[in-house]
Amino acid sequence: MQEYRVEYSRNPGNVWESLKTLPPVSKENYNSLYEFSKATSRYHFNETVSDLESLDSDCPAVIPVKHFDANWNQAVSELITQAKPADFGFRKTTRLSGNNVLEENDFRRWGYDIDGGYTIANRILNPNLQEPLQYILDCFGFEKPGIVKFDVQMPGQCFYWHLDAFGGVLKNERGDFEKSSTSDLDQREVMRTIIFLDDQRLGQVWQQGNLSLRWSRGDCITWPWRDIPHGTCNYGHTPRPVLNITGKLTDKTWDFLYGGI
Amino acid sequence: MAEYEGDDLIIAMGAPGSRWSGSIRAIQTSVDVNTTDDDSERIYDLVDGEMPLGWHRGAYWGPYHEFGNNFDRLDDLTKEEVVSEFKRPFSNWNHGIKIIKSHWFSYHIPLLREWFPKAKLIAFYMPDDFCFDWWHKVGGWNITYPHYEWYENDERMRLQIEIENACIQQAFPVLENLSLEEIHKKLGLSTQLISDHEIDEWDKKLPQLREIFNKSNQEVLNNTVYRTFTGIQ
Repeated sequence: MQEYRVEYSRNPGNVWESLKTLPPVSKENYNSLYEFSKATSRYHFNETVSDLESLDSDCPAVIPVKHFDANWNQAVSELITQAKPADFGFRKTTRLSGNNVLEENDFRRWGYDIDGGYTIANRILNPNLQEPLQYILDCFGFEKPGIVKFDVQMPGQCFYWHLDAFGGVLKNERGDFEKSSTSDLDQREVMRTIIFLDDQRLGQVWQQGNLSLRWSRGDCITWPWRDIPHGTCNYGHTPRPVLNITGKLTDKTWDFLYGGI
Repeated sequence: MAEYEGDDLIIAMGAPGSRWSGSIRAIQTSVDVNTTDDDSERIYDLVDGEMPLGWHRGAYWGPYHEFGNNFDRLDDLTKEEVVSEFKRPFSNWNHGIKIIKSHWFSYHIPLLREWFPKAKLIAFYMPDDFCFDWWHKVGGWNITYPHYEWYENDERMRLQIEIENACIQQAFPVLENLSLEEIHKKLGLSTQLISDHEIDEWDKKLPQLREIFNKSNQEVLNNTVYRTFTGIQ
């Protein structure tokens, strides 16, 4: 695994435009959400391959978007106190049953203690954002309603190694993976983006493919959601807060990605 | 005389509703392609509100069509009969690369590869449910060109889309979004397009699309091909 410090030498609009998509597959042949998602990923899944080179390809392990800077410390401190543990029971309320069955199969197969309190982070769904955090959300100009989460990974929590399936985000279009959404046919139509709201502290890890990220407060990243496996953990001593925004792209989003804002 | 191996052919296939017609039309903008199968009778468009849908142009081969009426049983024909049928709609066969398109090629991919080892095979793929829905959106049973009588009804249409897609997925392990330039290169075609002026004269659809989307010809053509998964051998 290589270390990668988030930097902005590439235009995120050009990178996002270059992304490709593999055709959807039928869920009937799968009892694992990870394997189902992997079947439509263009990632190599080889621990020995360097992913630094991927950053100039059409399957980049991570896409830095922009560095934001403002004083959001007070707002973040308040959100941290309001966030609740996101266990499997909480997370499955936003998704449909088939998706949850596949994910539960994975957890049990891998030995995650979902009955005993495994949590990925503390979370607020659709938080009431104050400025300057609302400004960040507005920059993306996603089609409404997008999904906004305030996630704070507390010491001891980890978000398992996974590929995004967007079972909640896209359920209105695809049902329980019964149909393809337009975003399944062209992953560029929907984006998940993360804004790091504090500097990286010792013991905080965010892995994208084979890259271990080094981030600073205000760094904003995205990735090809169908392609890149990722996971996070906090075995440090301090909370790790992020803003997690998912939405369908609009012309405003493209302008923003190309640097128009 | 050396046996004809199809080195001036692109054999194109895709299920109804795969949006293959639009992709093929975009590919035909390469200066290398012979489009003398175009004819004012071989056209279909649908306008849904302000949005033009369907982009059916030139000859299609298959049952109930002017050409290739027996192509659902290609294996009952000889190679010579098939080549002769390929040539019929072209007013001038003797130049450029010809794109021969038929839904029924999907059922006969190994045979086509055997007969035409030097031809390029291109397949267009979208998921089964998408194809069925899109085909209906473009007009379904009211589409006047090409002809879908062979599919009989919705039930059989769904079934045959599944079969055609399965054949394509089996024969084309890589189906991906490709830009127009990538497609032209993979097909061995020049990436030089006919001029914007010639394009406007050649097909009135492109100026329409350009205006609606406020994009250049290049962008419209790229978007058209990129949205459908494409495999090339």
